[in-house]
Amino acid sequence: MGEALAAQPNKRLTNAELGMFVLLASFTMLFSTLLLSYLLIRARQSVWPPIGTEPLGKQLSTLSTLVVVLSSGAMHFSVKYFGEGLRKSARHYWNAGLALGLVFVGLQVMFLRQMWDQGLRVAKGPFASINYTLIIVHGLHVIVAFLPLLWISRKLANPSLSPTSESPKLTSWFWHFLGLVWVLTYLLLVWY
Amino acid sequence: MSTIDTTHNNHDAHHGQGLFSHHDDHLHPEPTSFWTKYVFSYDHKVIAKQFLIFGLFWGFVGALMSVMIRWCLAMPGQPFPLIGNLLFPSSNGVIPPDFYNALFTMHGTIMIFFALTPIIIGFLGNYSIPLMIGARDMLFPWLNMASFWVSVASGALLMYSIFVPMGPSAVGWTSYPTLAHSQWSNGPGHSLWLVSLFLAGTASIMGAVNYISTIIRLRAPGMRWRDLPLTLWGLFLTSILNALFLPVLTAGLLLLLIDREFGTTFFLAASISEAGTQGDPILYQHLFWIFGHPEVYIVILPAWGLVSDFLSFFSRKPAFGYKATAISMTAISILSAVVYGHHMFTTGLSPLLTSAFTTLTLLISIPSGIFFLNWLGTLWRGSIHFTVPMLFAMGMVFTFGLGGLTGLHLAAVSTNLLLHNTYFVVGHFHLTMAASSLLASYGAIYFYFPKMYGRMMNTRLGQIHFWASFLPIVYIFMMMMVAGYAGMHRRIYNPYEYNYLQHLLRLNQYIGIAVAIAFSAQLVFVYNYFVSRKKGSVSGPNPWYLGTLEWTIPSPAPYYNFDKIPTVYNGPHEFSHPKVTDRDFIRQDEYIEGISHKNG
Repeated sequence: MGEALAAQPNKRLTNAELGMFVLLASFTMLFSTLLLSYLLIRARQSVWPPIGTEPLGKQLSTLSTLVVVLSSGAMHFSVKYFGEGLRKSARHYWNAGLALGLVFVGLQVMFLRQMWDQGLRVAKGPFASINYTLIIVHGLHVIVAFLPLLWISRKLANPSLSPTSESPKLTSWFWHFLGLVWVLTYLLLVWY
Repeated sequence: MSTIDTTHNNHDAHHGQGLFSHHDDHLHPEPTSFWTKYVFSYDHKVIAKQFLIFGLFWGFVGALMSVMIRWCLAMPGQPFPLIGNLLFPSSNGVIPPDFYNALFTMHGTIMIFFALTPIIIGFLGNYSIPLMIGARDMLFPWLNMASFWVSVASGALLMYSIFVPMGPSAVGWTSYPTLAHSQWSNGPGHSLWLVSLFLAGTASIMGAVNYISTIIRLRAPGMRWRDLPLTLWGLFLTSILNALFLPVLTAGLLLLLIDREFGTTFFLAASISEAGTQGDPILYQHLFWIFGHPEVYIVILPAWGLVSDFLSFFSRKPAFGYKATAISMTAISILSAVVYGHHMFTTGLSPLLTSAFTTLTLLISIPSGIFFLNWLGTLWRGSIHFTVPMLFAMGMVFTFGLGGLTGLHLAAVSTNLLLHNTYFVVGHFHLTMAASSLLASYGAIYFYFPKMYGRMMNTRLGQIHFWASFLPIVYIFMMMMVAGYAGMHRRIYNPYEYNYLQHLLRLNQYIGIAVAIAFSAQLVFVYNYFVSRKKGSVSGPNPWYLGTLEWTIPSPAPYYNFDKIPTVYNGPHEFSHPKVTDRDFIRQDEYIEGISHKNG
């Protein structure tokens, strides 16, 4: 058991970071369950993908994975520069990360379109169902994450934003998390 | 309120400026308008009361449904009295079979997610956590408010689902596919049920983030983990379980919703899928029970913690084996994650798995036995004060003891297979998680009423409420186990169509009478609650003569809670110390040489 607050002067996490940490633990369980469900559904099939069905395309999905990693990297540098007081660089990197995020969503839409053109339909068997579900559920989280991303982008342009504000860092944590979830999803859906 | 001191006595001088500054972040301005004070309030105490009213309202709805269920079983084919003709004109007031299915589905859903959870977690957690740890509010007050209003949205959706074409969800609170699939459960009712639970889960996770963070970060200076009242241990562990396992349910509900609305077959076997594609209905059961079994502990852990405190408070003795109780509760929380398979013994799990789940489930009886023994140790030779909260606490000890012991039959695969899906299961889990949590919830309301309103609830009415609830509750659920042992299925509209169950009619009628008595007793509580708010005797700041921090401030508690953040020098159960002669308790925030620790 830990000691009292009085005995814990060196806190590793701020209050907001702690809250975000717990929230991300919750989201981890959500996506872990979905990915585990994927593995279990797949394990029940004798052939994967089903005979006559093409595997998921590698080019677009690999490109979107690279883009989301780059976006995460841009967010990381933005937060770093923000912490160093380099507000202008922070804003540029943040907006770059945001733009790359939009490109990621665009590529995911193209990826879904490609699946559709392959003849995959949501209700036509577990292969299509689970692939569409995982990609779309992740994508919806990304789209919702744009709200705080845009809000921070606007805040970074405003000099009144406190240099000690934790909002950019916490938002970037969530963005990194979604990026990581996509990398795992991509590896499972496309390469496993 | 210019008198509020935000410098925390002399602690900054001891520990460095700013070390405790996080306490001040949560002193939001005093609300002035009706909307900010009573509706969209940040104040944890107001939010607690909102959760309480919300839970009591839904509790009434759920209880009314249980009366209707029992009417069907006691008086089959007879019109439901008073409101039967109004609700079921097409069947001359008789509750029809399809609505009976909806009744037990909604009763279970409402009682677990919309009555017990809001009261034992939403109300108790919100009210007690900041006050017991010496904080001015929750760590994230806005999130706290949002949690309540998401719950309201969830409840509104569930209520709406009752009135949609083809009626509300009627597939059981577990929502098992295949039955829960749209091919067998038409209409929007069950999809709305799924979305409603999705929102309820979101609200609970928001609350869990707040509870965990607040208990870790906003404990008053000097308050070690071993100084936490056991109520907070229960709430802390419950919040961890909520944060980790509700998302598992959410994922399952999401996949089921997609199955229903988009024609996928995640949970449909190939033999019955229109597309002939291979899904797995058992996968849903895994996802449901990975959450579902911890859910039992989610609603019972705060009750265990609360009762552990009450037994000490009202026996005027330190809690026997405080550390062992806290460790046992933690051990049970961990074990709760790996025992869910005992809900699925009849699904054809491999013998290896059934043996493992049997063993792990039986292991829970060890930590449970430890803290149960600690409860008895606390009572042993105590100066027991039979206050109303104490009555409810002792009632809870009794019902939980009965429920826990009968759980052994369901933990062991050999007996579980015979008793599965019978009323034995219904009686068992009602005693364990429903009656126990309900009794503890009432104890919490009677206990905190003076702090909420500055007045006491009427003791005589409280005693009547207790005995008229407790005795029927024990009878009802014990007799349900008898009916289950005789082979009565748990979800059956008219059991007497089977010859071998006809002799149970009289038993079910007696249960029905007990239900009517228990339901009526709740009206005594409602009367007591509302009348005592205006006419109860004035309580003073510490009517129970306790040392925990919430009793060091005025009643009702001011919006800022503490004018100075207290320093903690003692545990929560310091009673009858021989060195203190003028009273039998020691406040957590007073320093007494030779007794108190010096961490403050």
